[in-house]
Amino acid sequence: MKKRFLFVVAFSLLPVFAPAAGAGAPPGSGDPGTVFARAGKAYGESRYDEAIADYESLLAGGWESGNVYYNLGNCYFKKGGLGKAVLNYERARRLMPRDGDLKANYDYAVSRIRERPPEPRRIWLLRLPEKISGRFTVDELTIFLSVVFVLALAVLASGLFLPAVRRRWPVLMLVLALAGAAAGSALSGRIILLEREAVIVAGNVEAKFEPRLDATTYFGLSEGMKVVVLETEGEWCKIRRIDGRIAWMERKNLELI
Amino acid sequence: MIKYGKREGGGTYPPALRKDETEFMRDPQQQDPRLKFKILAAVVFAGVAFLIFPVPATAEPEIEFGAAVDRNRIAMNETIQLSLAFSGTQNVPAPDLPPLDGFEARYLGPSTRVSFMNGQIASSITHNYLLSPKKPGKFQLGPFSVGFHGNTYTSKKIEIEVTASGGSPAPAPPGRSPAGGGEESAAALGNQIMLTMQTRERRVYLNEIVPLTIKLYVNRLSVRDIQYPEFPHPGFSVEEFAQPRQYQEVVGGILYDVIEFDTKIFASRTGELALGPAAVRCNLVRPRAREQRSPLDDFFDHDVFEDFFGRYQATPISLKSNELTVTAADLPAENRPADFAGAVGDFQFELEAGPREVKVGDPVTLKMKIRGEGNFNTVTCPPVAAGDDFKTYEAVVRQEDGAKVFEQVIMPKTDRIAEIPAVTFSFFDPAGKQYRTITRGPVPLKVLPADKEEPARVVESPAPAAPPREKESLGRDLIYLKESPGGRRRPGDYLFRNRYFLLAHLAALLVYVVVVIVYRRDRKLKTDVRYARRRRAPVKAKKGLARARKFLREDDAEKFYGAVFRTLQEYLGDRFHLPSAGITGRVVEETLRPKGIDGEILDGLNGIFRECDQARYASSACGREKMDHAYRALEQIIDRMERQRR
Repeated sequence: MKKRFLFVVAFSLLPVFAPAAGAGAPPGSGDPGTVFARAGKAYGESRYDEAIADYESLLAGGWESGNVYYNLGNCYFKKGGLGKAVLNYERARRLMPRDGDLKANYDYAVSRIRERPPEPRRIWLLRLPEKISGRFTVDELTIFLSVVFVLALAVLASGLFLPAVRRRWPVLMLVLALAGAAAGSALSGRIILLEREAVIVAGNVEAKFEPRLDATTYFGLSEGMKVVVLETEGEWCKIRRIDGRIAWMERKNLELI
Repeated sequence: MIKYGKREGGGTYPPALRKDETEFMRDPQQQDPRLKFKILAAVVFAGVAFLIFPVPATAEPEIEFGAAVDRNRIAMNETIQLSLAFSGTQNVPAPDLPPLDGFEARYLGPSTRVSFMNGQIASSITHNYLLSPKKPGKFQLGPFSVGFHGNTYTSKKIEIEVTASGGSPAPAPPGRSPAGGGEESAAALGNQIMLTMQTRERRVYLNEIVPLTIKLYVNRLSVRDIQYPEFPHPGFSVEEFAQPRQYQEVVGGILYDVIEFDTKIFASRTGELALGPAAVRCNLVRPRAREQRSPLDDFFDHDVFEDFFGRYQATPISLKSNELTVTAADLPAENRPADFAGAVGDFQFELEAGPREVKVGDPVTLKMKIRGEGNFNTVTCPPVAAGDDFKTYEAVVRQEDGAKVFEQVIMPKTDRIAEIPAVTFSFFDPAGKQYRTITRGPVPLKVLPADKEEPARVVESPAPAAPPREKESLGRDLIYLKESPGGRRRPGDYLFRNRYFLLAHLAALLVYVVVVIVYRRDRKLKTDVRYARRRRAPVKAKKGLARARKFLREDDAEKFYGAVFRTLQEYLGDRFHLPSAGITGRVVEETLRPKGIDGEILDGLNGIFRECDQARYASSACGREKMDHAYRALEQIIDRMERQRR
């Protein structure tokens, strides 16, 4: 019976690791290593346009990495493109959220945003889950949720055969349910924003009450400011600023993260 | 009303109740629990004080005696209360009153009081009498004489007027204005409540501090929600009122409860300055007039909520005092000291300096303390004539209770200095009407040469905390590039979008479902015998058929039919949860037919059982063909029964 149980558990855990193993290497664009090194050299010699072109060519090759976005953000920042710099740092954060260098450069870039509306005040208990989940990538949260799911199945299955586990079912299931709810909530929040977060890449953008140029201006948006795109209508996007204000702006002035 | 008399032998008694003493006295019949607690605390405190500061045994307590009535004008249907008060002792027994002209007296009882002031304990006892008039007219009470410990104490006489009707000005009935409650007229209350304002001096000097006293007199009225007085005071600066004091005082022969508000004022300009009238707002609390009213009236009446039972009501009243005219004179110009800076009052001046032995450039702190009574707003730092030998810094000012302290840092520039020059402080004393100058110093000072050339030292006035360290300023720029491309992936290739990843979870769920099914079947096999036999029946039948087939091949009819019989018994027993050993053709008919088994199957079963019975007794009669038929029939019956659900 025990052998059968172990088999069941081992089989249940398989799906957690199988996809990671099967991810495979994405196709490169020629010789990525050489291009990456060349871009770094150009950056060191303050030839930021060349460095940007090389890094962009790497990304155009069909793969991405946190380090490339980070370096690209540095290039744009040095060149004076605060919006593009913040955009690439944001993209890098999605891939390596715990990187200290990235955090320092991102904070520095954000501090240079001309006018930032105050963030809505919330109690720390509400900010805590967001802060914790912000330290993990979407894939890490997915794996965590998957592990919780499989563990829950394993606990349920093993409890059928092992009285010791069955006695602890309520506690174990409660812990796993809470962990699953937290991870699920954080993951869903991140997934919802994946293709809706954007960065203002032009300076002094005006947000309007209506999606037309002659509409009344509601508020201004500084380059580098992060917004959430709620709706798109032609060349206009309905966006929500960090302070919760909603308005329309031209699509060309923002870029999705 | 209290009248203070003379002790036989002369000498005027001071008022029995001083204005600044703390009171603990009340009639025991009127004491509330808090008052009792205060009295108890006072008694305990007084007892401890007596233990710590024992009074010499030879000290004879000074006894004062006075007689008072609560009012001196009553009607025939009213009474007055006569109080014989003895201060300085509580041992005087109730005096026997002589026959009183026009009154009948009844002893009500004593009330005692203990007061504590400036470390002195004062006790008193008051014997109260109720006097009922016998006829209208003007009468005289006393003087009363009481003997105690060999001394005779005599009070002043008291004049009483008894009228046939309408005695003392009766309080106007509580008026109810259309708005739900108007202000009571102070005039209607006569001399029962009044407000006075007085200053110690009517002629003052500019900036001279003058005490101002506003008194609220209340006689036989209950007053509450008393607000601090307000009064116009052009040309005067007024300090905040101190905590009001409460005591009793006789005015015009009537005993009043007094609430005294004390403050200090000083004239900020010269000339004839008007002060007041002061106004005090309060509420009069009096029994509600009984009248026929509906309950709704009571409910919506604003006064109902002021008293739970609605028996009392509060009526707002505004009182105004007299006006004062104060003449403020400028300070005299003659004999005005050169260093006079405007200080007015009666001050003392102290000077301290430290350290007395320093090196050139070290700080020396001069502490100049000016204390006394007067207008501290006019007191400024006395000038220190340090000359070129000292470097001086701005003084730090600190206001203390009854004193103003200036701390000034001076720094000797040379080691030739032997002393700190004398410091003078001049002020105008309004009581003496003259300028006074106090000189302190010079203060000897030993100044040593500096050890070496030191950079200029920053000396600051004494500060409560050390200055904060300057925060280090750090540069800020981007952190350099990453040296390697790092982990790569396809854009948007998230794990949650990977179909294999999602299918793997589905597989895990299926595995779990299988595990649960297996577990349940296993458990049922262990716990449900009927189910277990039902599950085992075809398996065992298959084995039995194999055995029968073997005997068929060996052409052993006896063993073959024995195997067929056992197989059939066991199968039917397991299949229908019956004891296998007792199953025969008859049992089949009796047990299985009611279960709805197909009749054809039952006939076949009976046929096999009959054949087995025949073979048991005449096995030689069973040929190979018959055995084959029996075997196939058994196989078909089991097969058909397995296909049936039941």
